[in-house]
Amino acid sequence: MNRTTVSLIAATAALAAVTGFASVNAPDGGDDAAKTAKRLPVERTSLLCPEPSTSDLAETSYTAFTPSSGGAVSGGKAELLPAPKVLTDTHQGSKDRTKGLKPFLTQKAPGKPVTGEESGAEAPALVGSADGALAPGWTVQQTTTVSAGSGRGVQGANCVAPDTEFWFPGASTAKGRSDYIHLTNPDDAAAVVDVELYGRDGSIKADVGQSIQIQPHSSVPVLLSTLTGKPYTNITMHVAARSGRVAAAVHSSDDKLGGDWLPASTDPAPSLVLPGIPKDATSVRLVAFAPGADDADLKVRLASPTGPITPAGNETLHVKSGMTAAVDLGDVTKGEPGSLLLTPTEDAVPVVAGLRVTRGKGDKQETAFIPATSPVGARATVADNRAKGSTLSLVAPGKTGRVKVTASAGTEAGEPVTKTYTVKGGTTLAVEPPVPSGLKGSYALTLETQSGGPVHAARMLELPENGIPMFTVQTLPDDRGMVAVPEAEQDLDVLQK
Amino acid sequence: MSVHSHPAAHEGAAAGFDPSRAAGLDPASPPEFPRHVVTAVLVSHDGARWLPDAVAGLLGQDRPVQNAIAADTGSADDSARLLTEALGPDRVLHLARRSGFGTAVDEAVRTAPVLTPEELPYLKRPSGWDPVSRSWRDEAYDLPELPHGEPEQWLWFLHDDCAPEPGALAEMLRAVENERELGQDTQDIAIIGPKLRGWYDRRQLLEVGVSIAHSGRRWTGLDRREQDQGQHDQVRPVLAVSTAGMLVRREVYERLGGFDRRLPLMRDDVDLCWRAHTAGLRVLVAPDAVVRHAEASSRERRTVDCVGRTATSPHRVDKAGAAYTLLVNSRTAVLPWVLVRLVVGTVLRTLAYLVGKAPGQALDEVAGLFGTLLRPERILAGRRKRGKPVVEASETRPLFPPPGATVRATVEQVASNLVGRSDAEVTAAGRHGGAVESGPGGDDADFLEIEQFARVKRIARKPGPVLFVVLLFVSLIACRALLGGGALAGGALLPAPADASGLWSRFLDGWHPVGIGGTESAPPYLAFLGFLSTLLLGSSGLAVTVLLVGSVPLAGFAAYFASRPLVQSRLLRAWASVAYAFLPAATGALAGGRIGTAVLAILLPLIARAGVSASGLAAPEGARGSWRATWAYALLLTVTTAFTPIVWPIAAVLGVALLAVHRRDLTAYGPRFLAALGTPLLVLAPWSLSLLPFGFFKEAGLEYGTGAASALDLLGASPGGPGTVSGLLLIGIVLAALGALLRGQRQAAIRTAWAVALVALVFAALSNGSAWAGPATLAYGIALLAAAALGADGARARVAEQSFGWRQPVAALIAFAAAAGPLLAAAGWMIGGADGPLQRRDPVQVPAFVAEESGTQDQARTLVLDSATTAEVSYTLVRGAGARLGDAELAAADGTHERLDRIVGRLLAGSGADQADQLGGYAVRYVLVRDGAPRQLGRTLDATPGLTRLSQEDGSALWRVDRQVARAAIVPKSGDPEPVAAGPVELHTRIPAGKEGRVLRLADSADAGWTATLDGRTLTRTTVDGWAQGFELPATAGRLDVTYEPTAGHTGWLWAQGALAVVLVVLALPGRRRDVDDDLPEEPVVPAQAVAGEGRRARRLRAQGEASPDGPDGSDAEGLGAVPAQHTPDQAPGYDAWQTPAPAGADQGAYGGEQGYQGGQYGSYEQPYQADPYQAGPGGAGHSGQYDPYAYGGSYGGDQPGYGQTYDPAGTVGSGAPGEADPAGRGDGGYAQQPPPVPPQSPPMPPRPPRGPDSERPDGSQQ
Repeated sequence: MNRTTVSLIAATAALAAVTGFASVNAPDGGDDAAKTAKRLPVERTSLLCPEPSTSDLAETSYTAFTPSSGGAVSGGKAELLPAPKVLTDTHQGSKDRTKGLKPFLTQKAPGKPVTGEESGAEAPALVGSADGALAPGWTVQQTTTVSAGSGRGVQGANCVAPDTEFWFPGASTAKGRSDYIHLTNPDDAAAVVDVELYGRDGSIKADVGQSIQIQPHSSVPVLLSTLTGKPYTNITMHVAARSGRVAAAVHSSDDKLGGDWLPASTDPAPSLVLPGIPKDATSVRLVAFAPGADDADLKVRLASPTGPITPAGNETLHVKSGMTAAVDLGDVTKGEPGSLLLTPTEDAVPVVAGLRVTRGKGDKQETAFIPATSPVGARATVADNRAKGSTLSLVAPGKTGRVKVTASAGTEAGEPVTKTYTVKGGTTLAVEPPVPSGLKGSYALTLETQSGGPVHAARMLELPENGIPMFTVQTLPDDRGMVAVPEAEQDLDVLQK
Repeated sequence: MSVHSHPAAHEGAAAGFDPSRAAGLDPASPPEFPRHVVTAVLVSHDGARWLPDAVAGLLGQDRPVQNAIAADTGSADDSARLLTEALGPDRVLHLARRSGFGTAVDEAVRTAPVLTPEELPYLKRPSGWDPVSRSWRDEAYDLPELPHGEPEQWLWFLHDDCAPEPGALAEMLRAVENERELGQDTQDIAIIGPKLRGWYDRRQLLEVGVSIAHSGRRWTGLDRREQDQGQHDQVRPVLAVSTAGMLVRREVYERLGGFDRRLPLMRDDVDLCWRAHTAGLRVLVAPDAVVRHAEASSRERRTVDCVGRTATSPHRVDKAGAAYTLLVNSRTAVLPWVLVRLVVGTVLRTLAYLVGKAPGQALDEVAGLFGTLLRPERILAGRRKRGKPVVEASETRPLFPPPGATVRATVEQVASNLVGRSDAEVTAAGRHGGAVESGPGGDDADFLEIEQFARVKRIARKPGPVLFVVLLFVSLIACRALLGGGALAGGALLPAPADASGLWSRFLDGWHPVGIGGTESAPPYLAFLGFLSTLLLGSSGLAVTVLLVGSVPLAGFAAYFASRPLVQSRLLRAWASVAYAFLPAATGALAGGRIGTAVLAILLPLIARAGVSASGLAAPEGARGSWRATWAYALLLTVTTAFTPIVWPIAAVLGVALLAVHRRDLTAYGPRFLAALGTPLLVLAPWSLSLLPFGFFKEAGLEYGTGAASALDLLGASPGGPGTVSGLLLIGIVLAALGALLRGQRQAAIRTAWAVALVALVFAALSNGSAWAGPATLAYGIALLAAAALGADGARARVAEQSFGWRQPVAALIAFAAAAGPLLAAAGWMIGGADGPLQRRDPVQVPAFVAEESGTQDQARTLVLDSATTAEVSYTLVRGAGARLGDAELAAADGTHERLDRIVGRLLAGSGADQADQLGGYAVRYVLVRDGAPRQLGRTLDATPGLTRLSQEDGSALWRVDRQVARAAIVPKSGDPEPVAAGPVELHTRIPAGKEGRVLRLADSADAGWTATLDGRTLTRTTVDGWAQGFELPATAGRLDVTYEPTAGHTGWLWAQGALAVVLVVLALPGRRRDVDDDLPEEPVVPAQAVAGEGRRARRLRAQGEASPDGPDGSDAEGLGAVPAQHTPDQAPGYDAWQTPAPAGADQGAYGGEQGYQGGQYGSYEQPYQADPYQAGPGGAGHSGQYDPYAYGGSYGGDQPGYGQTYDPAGTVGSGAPGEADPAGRGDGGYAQQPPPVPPQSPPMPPRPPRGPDSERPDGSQQ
């Protein structure tokens, strides 16, 4: 073999070797997808409780609770301050108004709920904030009992954090209904809010709802029927803060069917879970809305204790874009507790949805609202559970999940109790939650997902009075006590887009 | 000339000098022009080498001198003996060695008697008695007493290194007589001078009268190497003539007091003649009188030791003499102007000498001028002695060079130095009569062309410019989206700053206002870009555009230029250049805005060429790579390392491999290796040190994308990413390069290319793991192309001569693939467009009003956010309108600021705390979220207290921090901070009085360089919030000044860096051509060698010889750019004339001529000279036709300008003893050993004489 052939073979071999090395050394590019954000406790939590009632007969109790995280953070305070109702657009010095206000309710340490009482129609809205160790998972439940009159019944509200956008499917301006939207601004700057209403045929012109000014640290109630002019049975309301941020809650009261707070639905999503329909629900109405540009076709299923069933006659729901779709499901639960699961039949189109649940018959009916709810996630808390009358509904829409339920110490006495439940996939588990031993007063329930798929939860609080099955339902979404803190990194590449 | 330089030839003839006998005349009988009595004064000093010719010239005059006297100033050689033998002992004065020319002449004149009619009887009226016919002649009585008139006494000054032609004296005297016949007064003709020609190159004009410019330049009015064709042949008044052959009236000489004692050697002639002019006398040049002059002193062929105590540089003596002459002779009115011109000219020339790497001459310039200027008393004395001129200034003005002439001459000289030094055509044209252009062939027919289109046609015929134009055209089409307004940005490229000063300040400033600010060393590529921008009139955008948009055509052009030594075929070179220009790495660099790789693409061919020259691989056996090439390599490596650091480790590995190849010669190559690789590290320090050991994979600009290439892509030299093609498209080049290994010849070069390719491929694979592999694949690609081009050179013939089989189709397939691949890539690129992420756009990266607001006195900043997932978020703290070129590296060097990272993370998590307030601490007024960020992010910011959403345009969202935000603020102990007006870095304002304990807070990171003063009092530094710079403020009001002072080390190092860069450039630049290389002694014929600096045509010819089937096979001693170390002169068309006489016969003829001379009389000696020496005379056919250096140069030198210069240092730079410095034993009598001229088909010539490592060729290695 002559020299040139040898050198050719050598070069070819070297090329092959280096190419092989290059293929081994090539970047795989899949490793950065595995990164997840660190979950850290929040530093401050703001909660806003709306004005409880306009009825003189109203008795309101507030229960505030922060589950003990066992985190390193200590100290901090949590207090609820009254926020006066302001109906004018004039700006009054915000500093002066918050100054000198005595906190209505102050929490000292996590793990133990505190309560406060108000009565009458003059109870103000409350602005609460918690920081330090009390911030993660701070929950305030506002439970109002109105024994007679329009909207009589139990009206429970989970005080909500200020945000910029809320969806309320299930509001109404029908005769006999008087729905108020309560807008509360916790900040030092005025907020401007647009309220848009969507009926069966699409957007309802409501010029009054545009650019509602909300003064700092104040609350504004707006009667929905003043916005529409014409009665609509089923309305989806969209509240969007043009500037600033607000907390919004709809207070719904019916002349006959009692009333309750209509909480905001979870963010628009293709699949929704509406957990905790009581087993004795006599009438269930589903209201859905597709905010996007596409129509949504939803498969409606009921997660019964044994598994998902499809309600006869209401297998699917067609939701036209920008229009509110409502369907009366009747007593869909057939005596068994259940949860409604909405899944897209074909294309994943984000929707929002809510349920109006009625119990009782004749003139002894009471209603409550169940919005579509995000899962329990890391932790969810609901306060103001009494020794009796609480029912915890857990639903696992997909895979089987395990949930640890902790009953906190009582407001006056009681030791925490913990119990773990397993929820089979596609079923609803309705249980009597564990009660703290030696309970005096009320207590809070804290749910933590242990393993398995996501679990959605709702708590029904029954306070029957005069034979009326007064009740309220609160869903338990993630309390956002822990937030995913993204890893921030300086990178000039962001300027190049 | 060998005939003339043979000493033996003279001894017999010159022995026992007697003027009358030598002239063959009866002393009583009158010579031609009998009334003129001429006394020759010959001064010698170590001139034995030329003296025989000089004496012979003197004695061989047609019109002999009446008297001759010689003065020898202590010669160390045979000069005194030669003179004594020639003239007789009583006519030779022996003077001290340090006597100057003037002194010697004075002494000789004093000694020489004035010959009167008593001594010269023919001057008298002849007696009436005729001894021959023994009769009286009556007519004699009618004659006057002095029949020829009153004798006119002349002095004829001669040097030992000047040889007058036989008619020289007669012609000068004839000029006087002609004047007399015209009826002019001849008494005012004080001085007459001959025309001076070169000693060795006898057609070269040295002087036809001289003048002096205001700058001190010796002004001859001639072009360099101008050939004598009679173009200056008329008797005319001049300012001065040289002392070599100067004929001066004895009484004038005595009246003027002889030469000035302050001018021992140089410029004494100008001074004397100038004085003659101011005395109202005339100075003429008689060009029919010819004197050959060796200019031995000024050409450094002998030591100058008559000035000062030691041997002095003639350059310094000349400079000092020029300054003195000008200062003492100039009229008082122009003296200040002359002084200014002298000083300015000296400074400029000193700089030029320094750049030309002639520090000795630079020193001479300065020393010469100041040696004169610092002795003003001498000048004053000289001026007093000269007194007032008797003539008007206007009369002498025409004798001086016209205004601007020296400037024009300098420009021409510089231009010829830069352009023409290797350009064979120019010098060849010069020989053919001063035509500037003679076309590629040096063909006289070119003169007949129609002139206006000739230039265009010539350019069109050159493939280099055509290639460039075509590539430029293709590039412009492809880059159609990248032209126009706005700034180039995108990919790895941030928009360039507004002007060059922005680039410079980024590089030079101690404090970089990027992010929260920092003091890290800036990347040096900013300085190079700044330099280029400055050249382009400060337009940084243009510089970036030229480098990026122009990268493809410039890379192709550079490759074409650099591939000249590689292969001979222009077509192959063009193919390789096109393929190189369209390598995926080059187009990918453009698409991705990678300015580093774009610069590398342009410079890589030049690096390769410089590297090959420096490596010595292409040098012939025994020769080493030149230092100049090493420095050029180091310079290019420094530039490219600044842009793409990966070239440094590649060069390091190749350098180590080279050291292994040269392991026998480590002492020579070790320092070269260290210089080439250490220079980038040193010049680019301290930035370069941050690269060690694994930082070499990054490149200039943003970190944009990671390795994107598959293994196959890399194999095909594609780095992947936008703007690149798949590597498979270029697989033909890889196959062609593999096929090159089968070529029998030039194996070393091919293997070298392969070694480079493999090393580069390894680095490409390494860098592909973490970064874009473009720079390394570029190196891989160019090495493959070099190998492929070497293999393709003559491949058709090789393949064709094999019997038909599988080889031919395979070769054709590979050739097709190799040719089609780059063309397809180019077509796709042209159609698809060159822009990728790179685009032209508005350089403002934040909303316009935000950019506007950030320039106000608050200096508010913008936090720009983007994230693809909720788990990771990228942010940038933007000052002003956005980040600019270089900021990416500065920000990266500043490192992460964890506190800000945490704040941003918490802000986006919506963890509820007062992040807006914390952002205010960083002077963030606006938060901008880029389009494409998760919606949740905007929700969170909306829900963050203290942030107000402002607007939402083009998908991005903007929030304002509801808080008073300013870069500088006075923070009281309690209460809200109060903003203070500030600039981007410094702060100068008045502040009001306040409470005790307040603190000035800057939203810039704390550093010891910050200083603040209040009404001049320095404030105490504190650190606020754990990171921000603060100063404790007193309660009083006053003027506040905050500045940043970089450390002395930073400033000092910048100066040192600049100086290093200048020195490096000077070292890498071609050296200054020595002025003394024109008139060279005949050299023994040397082999043509593969010197790096030789002319292109010579190389081409050689390559032809190599490529021809019967050409010698230079298989071993060549590398990449190798050419065979053999010369086949018969290949050159230019040799035809030379070849006509058979070399052997010519040789004999030459020697025969010499023998004839030895044995001959003066008559025979004179004959070749009297006849036109360029005509083939009987004895002169071999003599002048063959040995005439000019004719010789016409054949050899015409194609190979480096040839003559190659030998220059041997003759001129040596110790100063001419004979000793002669490497080949050339010198007196040395021609006997001279090897015969190159016969056709001759064996390889003996190698060039070894030279010391320091004797860098002044010209041989240029270009």
